[in-house]
Amino acid sequence: MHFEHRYFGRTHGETGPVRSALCFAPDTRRVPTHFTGLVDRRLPFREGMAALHAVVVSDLRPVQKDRSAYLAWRADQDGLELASLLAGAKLQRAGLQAEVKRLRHRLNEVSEGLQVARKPYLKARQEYYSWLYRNDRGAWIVLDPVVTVHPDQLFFECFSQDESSYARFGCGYEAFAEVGELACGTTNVDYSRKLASEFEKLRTYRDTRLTVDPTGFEVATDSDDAHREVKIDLPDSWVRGFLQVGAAMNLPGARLRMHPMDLHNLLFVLKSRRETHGPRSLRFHLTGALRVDIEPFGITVPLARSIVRDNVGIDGKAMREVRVWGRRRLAVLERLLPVCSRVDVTLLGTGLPSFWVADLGGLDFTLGLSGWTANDWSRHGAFDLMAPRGEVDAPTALAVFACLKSGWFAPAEAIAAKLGIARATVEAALLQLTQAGRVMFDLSRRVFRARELFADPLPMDQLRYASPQEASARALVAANGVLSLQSSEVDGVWVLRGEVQGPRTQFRSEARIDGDERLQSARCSCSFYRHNKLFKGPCAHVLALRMAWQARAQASVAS
Amino acid sequence: MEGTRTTLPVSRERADAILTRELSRRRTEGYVLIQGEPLADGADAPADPRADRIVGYLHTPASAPPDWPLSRIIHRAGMLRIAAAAPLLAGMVPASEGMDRVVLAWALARLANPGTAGALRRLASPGQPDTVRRFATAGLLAIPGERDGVRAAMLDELPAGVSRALLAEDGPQLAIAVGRWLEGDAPERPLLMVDLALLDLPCARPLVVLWLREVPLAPPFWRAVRRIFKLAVMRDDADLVGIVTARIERTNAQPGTAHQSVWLPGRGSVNIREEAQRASSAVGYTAGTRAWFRSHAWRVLRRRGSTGQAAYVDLAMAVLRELSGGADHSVPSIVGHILLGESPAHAPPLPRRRWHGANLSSVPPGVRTERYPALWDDRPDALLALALGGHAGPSMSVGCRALMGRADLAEHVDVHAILELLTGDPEPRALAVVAARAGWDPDQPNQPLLLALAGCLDPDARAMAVGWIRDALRLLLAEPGFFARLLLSPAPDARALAVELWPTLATIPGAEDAFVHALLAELGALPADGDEGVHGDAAVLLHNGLAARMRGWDLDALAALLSAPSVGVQRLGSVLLMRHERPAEGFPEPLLAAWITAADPIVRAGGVRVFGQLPDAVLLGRFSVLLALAAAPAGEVRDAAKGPIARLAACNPDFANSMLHAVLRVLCLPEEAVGVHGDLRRLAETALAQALSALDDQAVLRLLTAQTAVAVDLGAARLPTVDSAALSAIDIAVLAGHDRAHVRSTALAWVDHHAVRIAADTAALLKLIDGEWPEARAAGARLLCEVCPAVDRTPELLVAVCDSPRPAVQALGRQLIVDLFSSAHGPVLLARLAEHPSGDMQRFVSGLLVGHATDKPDRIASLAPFFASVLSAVGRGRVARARVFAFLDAEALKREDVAELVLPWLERVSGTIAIGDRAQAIASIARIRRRWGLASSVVTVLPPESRGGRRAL
Repeated sequence: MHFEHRYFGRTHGETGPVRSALCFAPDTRRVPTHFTGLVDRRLPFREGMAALHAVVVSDLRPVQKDRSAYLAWRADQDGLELASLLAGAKLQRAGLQAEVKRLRHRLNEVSEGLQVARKPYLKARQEYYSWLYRNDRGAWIVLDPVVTVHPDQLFFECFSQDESSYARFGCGYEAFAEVGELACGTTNVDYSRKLASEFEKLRTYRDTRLTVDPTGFEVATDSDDAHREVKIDLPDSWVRGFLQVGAAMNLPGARLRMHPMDLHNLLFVLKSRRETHGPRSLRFHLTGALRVDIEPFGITVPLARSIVRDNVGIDGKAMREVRVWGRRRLAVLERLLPVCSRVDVTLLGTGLPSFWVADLGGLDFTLGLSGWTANDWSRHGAFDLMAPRGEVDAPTALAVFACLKSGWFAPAEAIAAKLGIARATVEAALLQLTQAGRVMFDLSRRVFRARELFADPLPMDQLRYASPQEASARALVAANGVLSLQSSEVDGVWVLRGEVQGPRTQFRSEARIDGDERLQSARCSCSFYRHNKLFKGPCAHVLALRMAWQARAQASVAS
Repeated sequence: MEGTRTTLPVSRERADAILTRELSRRRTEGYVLIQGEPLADGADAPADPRADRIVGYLHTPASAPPDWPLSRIIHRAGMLRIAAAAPLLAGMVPASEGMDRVVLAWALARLANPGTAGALRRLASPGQPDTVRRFATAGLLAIPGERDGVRAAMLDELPAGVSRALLAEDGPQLAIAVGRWLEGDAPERPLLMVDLALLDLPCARPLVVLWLREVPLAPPFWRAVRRIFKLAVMRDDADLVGIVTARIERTNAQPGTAHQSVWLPGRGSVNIREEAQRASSAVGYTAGTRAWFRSHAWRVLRRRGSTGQAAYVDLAMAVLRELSGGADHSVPSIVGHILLGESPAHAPPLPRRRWHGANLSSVPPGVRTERYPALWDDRPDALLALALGGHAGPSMSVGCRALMGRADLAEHVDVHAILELLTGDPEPRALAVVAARAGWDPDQPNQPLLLALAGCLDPDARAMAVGWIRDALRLLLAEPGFFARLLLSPAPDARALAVELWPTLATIPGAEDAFVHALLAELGALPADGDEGVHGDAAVLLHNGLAARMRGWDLDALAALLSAPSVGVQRLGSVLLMRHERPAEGFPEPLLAAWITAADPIVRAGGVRVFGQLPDAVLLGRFSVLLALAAAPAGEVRDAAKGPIARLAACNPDFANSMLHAVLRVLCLPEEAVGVHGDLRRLAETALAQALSALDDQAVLRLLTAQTAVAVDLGAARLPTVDSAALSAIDIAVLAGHDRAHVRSTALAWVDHHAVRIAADTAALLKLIDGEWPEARAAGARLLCEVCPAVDRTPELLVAVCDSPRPAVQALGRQLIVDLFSSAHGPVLLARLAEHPSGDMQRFVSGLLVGHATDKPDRIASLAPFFASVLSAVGRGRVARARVFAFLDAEALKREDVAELVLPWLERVSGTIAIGDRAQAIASIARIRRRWGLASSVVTVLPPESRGGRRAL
């Protein structure tokens, strides 16, 4: 998906002996949005911005080894070996053999020469990437953060490049010593590593002024060289991930109030150990003594100072156990530990997103984690976060949005009372708007906020599913297309076998799920599998089988 | 039908053939014969022995062969429309029942005989089965005397909105009303479409056709589609039969219906036959149903064909038309039956399979492959439609083969058809040549036909056309326009003929002007995607043979070529205009404007060259136009603009200066097209070199801080001309951190040159020290350590150095603090550095605690964020944490107020899983509690458990 931003000037920070100023350049293509304020709680603000930056640049996806050079060599070698075989078939003619030998020798020389010639380049490239990784991880930033100005607070939102971590840093105006003129709205802001460095220089003994610069909206001419056009080609999966996490925020789940030292202990165990095999999950036990099993170390961390405030699963039943993966993403919360008084955790269920809200006193930091770090086809969950949860017609949705936007934020019941329609309808409309990126749910204050993530409407049909196979699988599950399902566990690996309804006939599908609930291997009797194996991901029938098994497993855990 | 298709009277046979063809064409366009009029194939064939035999069977059913039950006899009588059978059939109505009654209704409806109206009314009366009523009603509607009454009764029973729209003959309103009706959930609602098909009113027919094309073949719609199909078969309604047949051919059956039972969501496995009987059945279009309808569609055609009914051709044409557009080489079963049924090289495939062999290359030439060729021979219009293409399978070949051998070919294939055939494949082209040869008259040469033949792909046809042109040259010389069109023929030999004949044409008075006029008009109409060579010969002729004539030709006529669709023609027009005798200032303004804004860059460049020939005074007033041309995306235009700009800049310094600054502004903007910035830089360095040499320092700095590479390059190239003494210290520091190594090295030389001035400027010094590049940071450190006076190295400056996020710079700051340490600065350094987020700085600060915070409760309280940060660090800062533990423990044991302050911090950290830290925290808490008797909420000291030790002896 292509997005275009147009910034007037650059976001910059200036730090002097007694004052510092942080000025964001907003996207002038969007609704004029600006803000000026004098930050009062500077150290928590600094730590919050540092955590936000850590999410923006975080990419915990495993890096595949670059095998292109080897494959190129292998291709040449294959040619030679084939020639050798052919030569052997020709009764090992001496002349051909000698020619092959001479050519092989020559090829080796050329390959060595090529390696020598490429060596400085490869070394320089590696050094460059290493330098970039150490010094400028911001170069990998995919999309600039979004800043929203509301009557009660200013908040920043971002989504990590690995499409798995969402962060929201809310700055209530009580954390500002002075708030100047503001215009409510949402805009993208130009963001850079230099700016993150300037945030690191915030101190209590320097007055700090935060500005979302209104100047760009006042300059009318297009030919000014201060205007910068930024065009970004975002993967659909990135946008879908962002919307999925956003849509999950107002789902029911287990809500824990965690003491910072309990979180400290989790991070301590994770930091002091490195796992070499799966499973790699945090297993929360929500009944009995509240505790977390850290797999595969076999360490149980008691959450002695934490409490469960609420426990309602998506199916309306209390959950006994929740597993969360991608736990190393929690490291971004480390810098918040000294300045936060509590961390409110919302666990939606196994394999579903989780949310960690750190209370910084007037400031709050929300970290939303998708079910897994790598949201690839091997992890398709049973719960469709982008599915509508109620019928709402377009005029009603528009009316709800207009009502919300008139005050910028409100709980669902207030909107329902104002419009005189049922609360369930309002909630369904708000969910629909959340899925479209126009509204977000503020977990810390538990209100809906009008926030248009993108300037242009998103193609929701395109974003709904990651692949046509996933769409077909969801339809099959919804239509009870999984006719039979047998599961058995062997050495920690679940083997699923079943029959799934196809357009004309039934297919026999099989899938193996490992301890991290990752699809290890699969087979199916359908033509998609016969043609593609797993190179294009599993077929709809395997996915449907897995979804049905997951739904059944969750139901049995809940009961 | 009114109108004429011939300019001169023709023979009766020819006129009949044309009428038949036009009727067929109208049918293919969607027109239908009005019911009640005599049918084309006649109602009966009195001399037909087959009809007599069937009538005999009706009289005495027992005389029929054993495999001819009564229902079959009735059906055959209806299908053959045997009028003599009508009274017999009507007489059977009272005693009939079951399937016989259905077949009777069908046969009587097909006969539509006024004498059977009573029987039909009886069959259409309430209480009869729906199928019987429907056929009977259709029969009544086909009888003129009954039609109005039946129609009025039916309209009364339709939904109010639908009936109102039908009465008003309001098609759009009808569509709305029907759409609303169909939105309802009841499964019977789609049956409204059956009623509309039954009524067959002109305003409703498009709606029925559209609905049949779009409607899903599944419940609840399938039932209505099925009924409409059967109605259409009864009426021989080719359009509807064709549409439904094609839909069934292309639409898979409902999933999972290939067996006896089907799995339904929420209901599990159900028997298909039982499910289909339900009113709200979830299955209808099953695999079996589809297979039956596919074979039934061919059965319907076969019955018509085998009994010699002309309707066969119409039905076959409709099916072939609807099934056209298949991409693969296999043809649907029914198409194969129609087109390949008599082929010696093809055999019917197995049931449900498709025919292979979309072309007839394996069939000897001249052999007919279609079923019922005699019926096709009666319809040359249909064969011509097949030959013209647009139908399924090898229909084009079939049509061509059938027409090719006809003696009366010229009567059925007119000039328009020949022209159309010439644009097709080899077979239609060959047919066109044969038809053209058959109809050629040298005394009345048909110019479009000659041009089409001369430009076609067939070399023999082209040679034939050249010969005909030479034969009819005397008549054709009177038409210069013909030669203009011949000169633009797609065939090179035709164009060569035109060039060859040009001298002959030029000798005729007035022909030259008429020829050029026609040629320019034809050039202006050439399509955009035409062959480049087409206008090449014309261009040569205009540039050489007619050069002198064209220099004085009307400007408007030449300017019109600039807006021609073909780019080649536009370029030809541009060249003709550039060679025109009129000077540049004589060209009209709109023409120049259109020329320099043309879409093609070469055309634009021509315009710019003419524009550049305008007098200097005029050009100076067009500054913005010149700038836009110099920065145009097309390289040709930029090149053309250089000359005028250089000419003006050479004699006008003010213009050069203004143009330079404008060019530099464009250089600072993102590049609009590749090469623009490079050309502008070259323009600045060549044509505007004098103005560039006088560029001021601030302009150079602006270039260096621009976002575009070429601007920065140009700024870097001008850097040596900058007077560094005139630059501020911060400007030099900014340049020392520039991305370009050349700029950095120059700026660092300036740093050395102005070291004292820069060292005195704190902001510039910090910018250097905390710079992006190591050489800049080294220069800054050197200035700070060696040049900056000791008195200026205040604690604030050192803290500012330490505030850098770079570890190396922090280390420099710490080193300087140690080197220049004064105990008076301790409290300031402690308070400020304690807020640093770096672990190294926290460790450094922890070393200052004992010296500057001991016995100072206020200072300890203000350091709370520091203590929290150190004690909460996860797996790092061991040294700092140990120092903090020791310091807090010692201070808390000294004073109770400090103890109250410290206790919550220790209690918080006592929850850690790190054993050493927890032990230290708990031990400190225990000591503080013992010392001051304070209560702790998290630590409770339990007395050691007594396990009944040995009693002392």
